Amino acid sequence: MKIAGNNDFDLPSDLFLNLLQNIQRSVLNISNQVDVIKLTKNQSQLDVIKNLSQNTNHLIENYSLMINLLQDKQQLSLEPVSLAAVLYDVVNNLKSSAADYGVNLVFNNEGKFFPVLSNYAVLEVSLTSLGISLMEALPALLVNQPHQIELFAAIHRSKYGLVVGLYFDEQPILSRYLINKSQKILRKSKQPLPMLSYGPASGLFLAKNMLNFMNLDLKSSKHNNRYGLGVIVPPIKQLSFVDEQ
Amino acid sequence: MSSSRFKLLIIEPDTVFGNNLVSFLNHQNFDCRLVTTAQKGIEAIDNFKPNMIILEIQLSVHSGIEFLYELRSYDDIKKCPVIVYTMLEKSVWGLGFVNLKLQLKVDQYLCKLDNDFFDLTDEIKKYFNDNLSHAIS
Repeated sequence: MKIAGNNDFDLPSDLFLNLLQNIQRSVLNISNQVDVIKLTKNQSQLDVIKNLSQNTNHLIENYSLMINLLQDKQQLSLEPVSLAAVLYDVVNNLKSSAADYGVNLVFNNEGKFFPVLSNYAVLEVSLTSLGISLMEALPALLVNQPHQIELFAAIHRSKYGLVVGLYFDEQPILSRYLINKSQKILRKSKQPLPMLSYGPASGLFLAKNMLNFMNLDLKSSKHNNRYGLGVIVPPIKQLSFVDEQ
Repeated sequence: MSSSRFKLLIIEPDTVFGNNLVSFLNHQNFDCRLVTTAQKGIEAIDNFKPNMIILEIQLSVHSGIEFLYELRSYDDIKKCPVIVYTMLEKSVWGLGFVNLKLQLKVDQYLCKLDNDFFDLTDEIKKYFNDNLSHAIS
């Protein structure tokens, strides 16, 4: 299967195998959670099971949307989109499970930004998937932070357009080059991005491939002295006359 | 067998999985400490002085294999028993699996997909029953 975009590349069953590993981990965690609840009789831990299921469903939804777009069963319609609204929904999707991983999710909604021409569902699903991967990975990555691990969701302007992303580290550890290289070993490796994640990091690769449908890509980005991954959405001059309320 | 005096260091990057494992093993009267990286694991050995290490191979940045090489290079802690409890099936190692046992002195290798927390607890208790003299403290 090919995805048309800036760079034609294959989207084989590699991504599906990668996703299956993520699902496998989630199902294992759910099973273990049941054992622990039976043993400790701590009913409050039932929410963890719900959050694990929701996260897995988000990833599956991302993959399904991507397959439907590939097979033209679903048209990718472009519309004026408020990135702040997208990010607000993404944060809502992630906040219940952020607590399970000990991550403090911060939504930085300062600033007024004009709408962009994009697809709301694709942006929301992609950023949610990316957030899931980052939340799983950060507690095992940012061990030297003295305070609670924080994941910032933010938008800022750049000379190329609006940048919407998730930021977490004081040093840049990821780059588009590294992610592209890692994607080539999805089939062969259970840990394609070890400098970020102990696992398959499915959400990150799903997000990247989804964004490619709109000729967008995940790039290393910086916001308020925090590095992370962002998406540059170019402005549409006509919409820049519309003030965001 | 009374397990209340046994200390377990758990090196597990998945915090949800790790917290569940700690809760389970604490309920079995083990004293557990959870760390998420190989680096923290080495530091915890000095502070916590565990009787056994439960190790996931797939860690961020530095793998469990690197941790094992580092562990076995220190004279004072190299004899600490290690049970590998990992997502990796034995089949992925091929001939390298022999190295895990012989050179890196892994005492037991359990795949998470085939062995639940009850199986792991049984292996831990079996080891301590058979090898009481291997306790560090």
